[in-house]
Formats: sequence, structure tokens, C-alpha cells
Amino acid sequence: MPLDMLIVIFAFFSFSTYLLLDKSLINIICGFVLLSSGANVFLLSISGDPDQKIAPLLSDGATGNFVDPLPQAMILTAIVIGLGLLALISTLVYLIIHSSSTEGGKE
Amino acid sequence: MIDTFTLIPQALVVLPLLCAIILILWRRTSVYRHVFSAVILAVMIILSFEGLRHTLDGEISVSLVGGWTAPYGIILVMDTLSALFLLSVNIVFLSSVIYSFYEDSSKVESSTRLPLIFFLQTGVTLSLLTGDFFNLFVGIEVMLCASYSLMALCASKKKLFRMFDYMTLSMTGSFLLLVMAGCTYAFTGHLNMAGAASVLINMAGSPQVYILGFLTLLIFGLKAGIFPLYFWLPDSYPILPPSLAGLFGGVLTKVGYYILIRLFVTMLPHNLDQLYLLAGVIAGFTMFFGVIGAVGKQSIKGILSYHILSQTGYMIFGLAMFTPKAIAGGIYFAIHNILVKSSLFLLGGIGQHCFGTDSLKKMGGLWQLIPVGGFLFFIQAMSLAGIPPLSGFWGKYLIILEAINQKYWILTSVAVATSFFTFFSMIKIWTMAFMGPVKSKGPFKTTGLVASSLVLVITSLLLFLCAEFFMENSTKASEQIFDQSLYHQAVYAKTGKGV
Repeated sequence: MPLDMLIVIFAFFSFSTYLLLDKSLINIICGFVLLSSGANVFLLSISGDPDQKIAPLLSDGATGNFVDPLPQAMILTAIVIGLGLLALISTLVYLIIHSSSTEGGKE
Repeated sequence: MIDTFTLIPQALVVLPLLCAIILILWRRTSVYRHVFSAVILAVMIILSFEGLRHTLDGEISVSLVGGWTAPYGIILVMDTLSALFLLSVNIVFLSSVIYSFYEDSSKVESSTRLPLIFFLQTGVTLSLLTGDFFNLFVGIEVMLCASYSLMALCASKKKLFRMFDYMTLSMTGSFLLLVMAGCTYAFTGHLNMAGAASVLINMAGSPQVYILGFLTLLIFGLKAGIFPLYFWLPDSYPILPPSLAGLFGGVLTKVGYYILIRLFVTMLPHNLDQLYLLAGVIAGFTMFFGVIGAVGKQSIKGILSYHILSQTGYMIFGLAMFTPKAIAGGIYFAIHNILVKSSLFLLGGIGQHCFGTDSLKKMGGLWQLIPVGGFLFFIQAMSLAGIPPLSGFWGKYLIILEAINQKYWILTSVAVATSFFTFFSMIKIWTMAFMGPVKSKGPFKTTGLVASSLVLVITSLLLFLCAEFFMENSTKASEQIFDQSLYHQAVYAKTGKGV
């Protein structure tokens, strides 16, 4: 794994952990945005260093050194699912804030 | 060329999905909608029974989605373990859907509830059948999204904040699962479980294997409700109406347990001793804290939710010993728990139906209002506590017998003590809700509610009447998955498109 990718992933995960542990509901949502992006960048990084490699397009007639396309297919799925989850949790937070005038403490 | 048996897994995934789409379009709520759903669920039960019948001969059904061969395409695998889980889960779905019809007759029913239940079933079926790691992530997400929506839809608005913990923890788990899928692919070059297993077996003892094992225990332990990560469960399940509480309590945590077995036994190498020790310690704490929480609770659904945890502890204990016999005990116990736990939620829900509250202090005299329901509740409660000869006893017997053979003295004593406390808290529900003076008047229409739970009670009675048959088959299931080569051969024997 290239070092720059490692630093980016580390930054994503550490900031998201910080935000997830916050009390504010909005900050928790932001934490999830970062966490999902972090996971996606992690998936991208496992296809390896793209240096000296060519795009996996068979129509060019090229053979040999392709970039692994599977992690990108995984990211596509993960983005869609992550977006859906974020939409759901945002709606839930909206409902919670609307339904309770209190701070949302436990019973 | 194509025999019907290989079509069963595909049909089991596609059928609920189609049904969900039809029900979204069919917006007007009516009796026919419920009848339609019940018929589809009955078909699902028949299909999964047919699948189980085939797998009992030692056959493993592999169907290639889109016709691509194993290491490249997505595959659905049905072996004895998944067939056993599928059958019992589908029975719970049927029972819960019929129950929800009677439960809702008084109130206005939301038209999105039934489609969401079918989406939940699609997710559950896909997670139980898939042989591909990334597809497992998709299945789990379909299941969880449907469960969040159902919970937000059916809980009262004032209690919504109690599901926030559930959602945040599960979402964190989901993103970790994504990272784990990435790790699996990076370490082995496979997303296919059989393919990954064949590579991991040569890496046994390396740190990569431990990383995968620990992530498995963390992510699916969270879904199953193990010790440090369990508090979302007793917080969120009691806000659901009884039909859904029964469904969630019976199905969702057991899917987590199923995947724990699936990954630890069929995918990872069998020598992760430190992780098994960790699982054992967690199992002890889960059993103990789960049941202690139950003793302190004052509502039926609260007590039952804590019991889900303590019983998860028993199952994890079965996994932690990691012998074929112990896992067979765990499987039998999980099947018993799916059926008994859901039926207890449904039968206890009749109390809520009659008194309008779930609090034990405001209940009393249910025995006189619903004698049949009370009788069924008593049987199931004793079964949960593990009184012989009911099904709960046999599950615990298998696990504890193996624990004594393997000399796990501390965990064995925790397990036995937990059983005692389970009995105690079941007696608490019995004396407070069912005995005493009648605290509510008027005839209640409970026949439908009792009748729909009867499906579950009869099945769980079968579980002990045919105890030998079921024990033999869960042993068969666990021996089948313990031999990783069987799974591998079945998956790779199938040829289709691709190299």
C-alpha cells in the first residue's frame, strides 16, 4: 500500500472516530460521511499502485499489466449502499429532533 | 442439466424480492394483501423444506448467479446448516406476518410495512445462502436497512431516539465489514469464501488470518449481541410492536451467529486458539450480564430482549469450544432459540394487546383472559429456561456435555447459573402477568393472535419430540462444514461461464 494512501486513510478513520464519539447528532452524521469515504478509499488502495499499469480495457487489444478492476466494482456498490445508509440516518435524526423538545436523554 | 435442487436457492432469494415489489405497488391495505403474503411465505417454507430434505443426503447445492463459475461469479450455496436456519427463519416470518394482521386490525396499518418485511427476508435469505464475501455485505445491508426502516416506521415517535444507538453501532459495523471485505481480497485475492479458505489454510498462524478472525468476531459479534457491544439490543427491541419484536428477536441476532459459524468454520483456518479463548471469555460475560439485566427489568419485552443476549452467550460458548459436537449443540440451540424466542415475544405481546401496556406492574390475571395462550407461554418459557424434556434442555445439554468433556469448568458453572436465573425471570413474568387478580375488563379478540403463535409453538415442540432426529442433523451439519474440502469441492465442481 502506498504511503500517501495510508496517511489519507488514517486521517479519514481518525477524524471520523473523533466525530462519532461526539454528543451532537449532526456531528455523528458527519462522522459517518467520513467513515464511508475512508472505507471506500481503503478499498481503492487494495488494487495496488497504479503506476506503470494500464486501464483494464480489453478493446485496446492490450495484454498484461492491468490495474485490478474488482475493488472499483466493490467501491461502486459501497458508495450506493453508504449513501442509502446516510439518507436513512439523516431522516432518523430529523425525526428525533422534531419529536423531542428535550435533549434526547435516555429514559 | 438443470435440476430443480439448484434452482431452490435462487428462488428463495428472488421470491421475497419480487413479492416486496408487488406489495409496494399494491398500496391499498386489505385482507388479501396479508393472505397473499402468507401464501408466498408458505411457499418459501415448502421450498426451504425441500432444500433441507435434499441437503440431508449430504448434497450441497451450488447455484451460479448469471452462470459464472465459482472464483469469478457470485454463488449461492445451500448446505445442511443454511437449510436448517432458513427453514426455521421462514417459519418465524410466516407466524409474524399472520400475527401482525390480527394485531393491526384495530389500528390503521401502514402500507409500507409488509414490503419492508419482505425486503428484510430477502436480506436474511441472501446472507444465509451466499458464498461470496462481498455479496454477504450486500445481504447484511439489505437486511439492516429494512430493519431500520421498520423500526422507525413502527415505533412511537417519542421513543425513536432509543433506536439511534442500534443504528449508529450497526452502521459502524457495516463500514468495518466493508473494510474486512477489502482485507479478505487483499490477503487472498478471492472474495469467494471457498477460494479464500483454500488460500488462508496455507497462511495459518500468520497475522493476516488473526486480523480477519478478529474482525469477524467484532462485526458479527456486534450483530449477534455479544458482551461489550450488546447495549443497543435491550434498548431498541422493546419499542417495537410484538409481531416485529418477535421477528427481530428471533431472526436478526441469529443471522449474526450463523455468519460467525460460517466464517470461522468454513472460511478461516481451524487453529485460531487465542480467538477461541477470547470468544469463550466473551460468551461467559454475555451469558451472565444478559441474564442479570433480565432479572432487573420490569416489562415483558425488556426481559425477553435481555434473554436474547444471554442465549447468544450459550451459542458463542458452543463456537468457542470449536469441536464438531460443540458447534452441533450451538446449531441446535440456535434453531430452538429462533422458534421459542419469537413465540414468547408473540405470546407475551397478547398481554400488551389486552392491557395496553408492556409494564409487568400494570398486568395481572392474563391466565383467566387467555388460558390457551397462557398454557403455550408457560411451555415456551420453561423451554427457554431449559427444563427437560423441552427443546431448550437438549440444546443446553449438548453444549454443557461437550464443555465438561473439554474441561471448561468456569464457563460450565456460569452456564448452569445462568439457566437458574433464566428460570427465575420467567417465573417473574408468569406470576406478575398471568397470575393474580384480573386488571383489565372486557372480552378481547385474542384467538387470531394465539393461533398465529401456535405455528411456532408446534414447530418448537417438534424440535423436542423429534430431538434425536434434529440432533443427528445438526451434528451432520456441523461435520459437513468442519470438513472444508467438502464445501470447496462442491463449489468448484460446478462449471459455467468463465475460464
